[in-house]
Amino acid sequence: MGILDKRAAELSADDLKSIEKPLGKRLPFPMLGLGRASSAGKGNYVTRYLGTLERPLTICSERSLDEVEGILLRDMPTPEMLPLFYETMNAMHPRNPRRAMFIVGAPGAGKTFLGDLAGRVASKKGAIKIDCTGLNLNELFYETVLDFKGGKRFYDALDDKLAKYNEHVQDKAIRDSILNPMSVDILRDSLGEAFTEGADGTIGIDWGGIKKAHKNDQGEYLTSRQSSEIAMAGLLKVSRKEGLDATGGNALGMATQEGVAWQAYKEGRVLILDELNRAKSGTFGVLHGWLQFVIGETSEYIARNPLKEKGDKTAQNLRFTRDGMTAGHFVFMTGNTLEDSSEVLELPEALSSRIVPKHVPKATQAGWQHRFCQALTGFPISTYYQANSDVWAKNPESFERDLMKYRRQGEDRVIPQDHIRDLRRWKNVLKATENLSKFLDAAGQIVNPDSQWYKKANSLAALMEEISESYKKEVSVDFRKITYFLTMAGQDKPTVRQPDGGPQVTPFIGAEDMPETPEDIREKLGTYLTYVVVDWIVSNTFDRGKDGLGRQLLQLAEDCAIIPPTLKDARPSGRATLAELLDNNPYRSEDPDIQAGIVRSLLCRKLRNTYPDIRASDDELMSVTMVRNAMQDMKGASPAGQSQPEENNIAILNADQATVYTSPLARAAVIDSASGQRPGKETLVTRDDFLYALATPGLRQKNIESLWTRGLSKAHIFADAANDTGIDPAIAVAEARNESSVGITTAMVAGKNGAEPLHILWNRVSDRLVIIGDAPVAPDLEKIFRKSSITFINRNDADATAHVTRALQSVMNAGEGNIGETYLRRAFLLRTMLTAEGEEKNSLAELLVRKDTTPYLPIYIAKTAKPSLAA
Amino acid sequence: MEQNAAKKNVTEPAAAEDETSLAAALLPHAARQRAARAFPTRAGFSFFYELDGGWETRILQDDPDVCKAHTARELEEAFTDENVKIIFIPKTSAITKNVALRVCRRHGAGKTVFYEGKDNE
Repeated sequence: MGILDKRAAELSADDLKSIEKPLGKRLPFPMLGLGRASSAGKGNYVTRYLGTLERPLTICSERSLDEVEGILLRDMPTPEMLPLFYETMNAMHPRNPRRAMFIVGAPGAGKTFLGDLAGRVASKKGAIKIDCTGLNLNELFYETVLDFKGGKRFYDALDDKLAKYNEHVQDKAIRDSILNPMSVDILRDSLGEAFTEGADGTIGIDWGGIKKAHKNDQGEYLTSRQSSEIAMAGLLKVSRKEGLDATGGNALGMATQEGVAWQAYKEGRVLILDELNRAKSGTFGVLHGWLQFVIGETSEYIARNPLKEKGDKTAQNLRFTRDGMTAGHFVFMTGNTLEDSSEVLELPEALSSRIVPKHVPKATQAGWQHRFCQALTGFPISTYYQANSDVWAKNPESFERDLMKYRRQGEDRVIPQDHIRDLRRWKNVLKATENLSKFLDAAGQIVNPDSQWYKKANSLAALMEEISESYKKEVSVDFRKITYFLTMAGQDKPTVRQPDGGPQVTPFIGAEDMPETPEDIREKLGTYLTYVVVDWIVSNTFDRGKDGLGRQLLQLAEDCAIIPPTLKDARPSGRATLAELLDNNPYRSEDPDIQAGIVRSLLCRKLRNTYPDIRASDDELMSVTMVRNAMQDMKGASPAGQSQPEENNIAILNADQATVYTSPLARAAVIDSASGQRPGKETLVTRDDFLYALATPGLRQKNIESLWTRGLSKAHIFADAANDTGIDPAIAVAEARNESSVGITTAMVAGKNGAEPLHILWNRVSDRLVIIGDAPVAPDLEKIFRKSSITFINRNDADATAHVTRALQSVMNAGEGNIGETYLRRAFLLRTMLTAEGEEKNSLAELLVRKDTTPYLPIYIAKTAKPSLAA
Repeated sequence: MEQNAAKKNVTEPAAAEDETSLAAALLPHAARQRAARAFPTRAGFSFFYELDGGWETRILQDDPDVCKAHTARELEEAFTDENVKIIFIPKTSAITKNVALRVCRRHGAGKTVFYEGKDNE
């Protein structure tokens, strides 16, 4: 027996000490404070502010402090709900005589969640919850259920039949031989809402739901006795039809038992009466006396048993007493406001004066972000960070350690791998959820003409005509939208090839985003989430003739970086999109083990392509450890742009069969011809070797950075159109200096027909790479490129210009700075010249695909005599 | 060298035993991690994972620390048992996904539920 099962009046000082857990003593627990502030614009004003508890909050729980901290950190209510949470925890202390709370708010606001949390943190048994919608409230004290113990063999036999039926549901002859179709009809009718049918024809019985499975003509639920009697009659018929009489089918029975109010009272548990003001009209009378007792106005309440029959083992009356009340018993009631629905009843005054409702505050943007973080990682990263931001900003490593520690502390459930992965990239999650929360908070106001949004902006008055009352309810935005969007983002989406002709469309989900497995969708969570949000906007606005509303919501989505903005004057936006923040890509993983694993598989694939006689497995060819050591060795070599700007080094996969087993990686030199050096074509690295090097995880970053030498500026070949920063903007772009977020260069490698130029564009902020070459790449390399955010375009393709135009948009849309196409063209023409006239009329995309360009001052990627990197 | 070989032969069986017991201890945890690689459905406070067969399903089936539920009544009992943390619903059970989710949502205790999808689902 736990301490909370004991009578509250009998708790000793030691008992209290053992259940009182100080939340906020060992760790910073967020809380909303209340105070006064002043500012130049607002003058003096009262405000709530987010911080951390200075004095611990006492939580009465049978769980350990570790478990209490873990549960309440992970499942923390939203910031705006924290004061209510504080009040609830205080109210649940056994010394408090008032053992009830009533919380009202809009659907999806978190009322029931708070009650569930209170129950779960108090004990491992959790709360007892009952949905009062349409419920005869007398059932709280006595209810009738099927007697499963008496007819156990029958129920087991029926369950066996169900299992076999579902196994053969596609074969009509077999399934009908297992369970007669007429029996299925009888079960459907007699079990009501407790009988479920899947789209595939499988059937299931929710035995626990039998007592509340039927409604009358007014839509009100029948009593548990009535519902059980209907079920019983049907089961008896099925028993005879299926020949289950011998298993006890002729001895089925019902039992009357004490209801949840008594159960929670005796077992010391939280009782959640959900949707109390939607209960069956005319049955609230039974609550008066009981609630008077619960809130401490009286010391006793007797519930009489109207169902008692001869031989019934239940008591005639249930006697609730103050002395008998268990320490953990608490009644948590929830309800909607009258404005939420016409089905919400006004509570009788006698009740409402006793249980004064607490109203759930309106959702805030911080609340949205909190919920999104919990949905993605199982932890409210945003609130935990913001409440103590001054500390965490100075020590982000410590913050990450806390996240990993408290995600696991006291957690009984198996943690989804995605939670751990997303916690590791918490900064991305914070940014992405900030964007999503801004969008949803604003969208919720845009679709509600009664909101402050419309009161503030007269220009939006025209939109109000598009929003009827029913439309407003249909598309209302509450916290449940988070689950909706995430669930939809986990489902496959159509990828569509556009026929030639017509306006060029950039799909939100392209061929490169198509998953091979369901898990792959999760790897592209950001991309799919973007699609789902835009699809929601389009299907609820444009598809329904509400164009003004649709435009407004799309603009909002752009402003919140949910979708990339349209390219305007070649100006990139300053924010990463959802796809960039939340898409997971092993090719861009920071984990050295993952990187080494991928590099090894790339290397082995390359070896087999080069030497088809190799039959050994990857493990037999080389170990991951060896590759990892080689990569670390390479990273430790001289960094790019420091010692010899005219000659940098990149790491390439060693394709020499004689040395690859001991030295999986080799060095190649980046030689800037502006320095006067021009290696012969026989010394150049092959095109494929170079392209693999740009995709190789763990080395890619350093390899790409190594491409940008300082040869042009050092050679002083061009008249310096330097500005106040001291550097010509075009040269800054050609050398991808810090002043420029985008770089462009031309690299010479060994192609099939001699030296081949590759034009390369790179956005250093988004790490997007676009490469234009003379021939297609192999399919496996193309696949790797897709995963590595590299776009390769063959200039000889018929629609190469269109591809390059789209690719340019993607490179220039993300990142910071203000580099337009003008400087990119100039930078391109620093290293390349045209043999024909007309360059001034061509766009950059057209110049990049022109075949009559000649590399003038390219960089060369040359094999080096320097020793290979040892493993 | 023969002495070394002899020594090697003496130590090998013990080493093999250690490896076997280590594998036996780790395998159930690996199976749970593998089963939890997909995004779960939140049903109440429970994590509900759908499985489509595979080696992890077989390990869960044999794991003594995992409670097996074959009927909806057994599932209800598993939720009321404080000592049960992980529940496995095999595809041969009489429990459909709809029923399983209903039961999960009805209970305040948060558990991990692995549901092996039926061939037709």
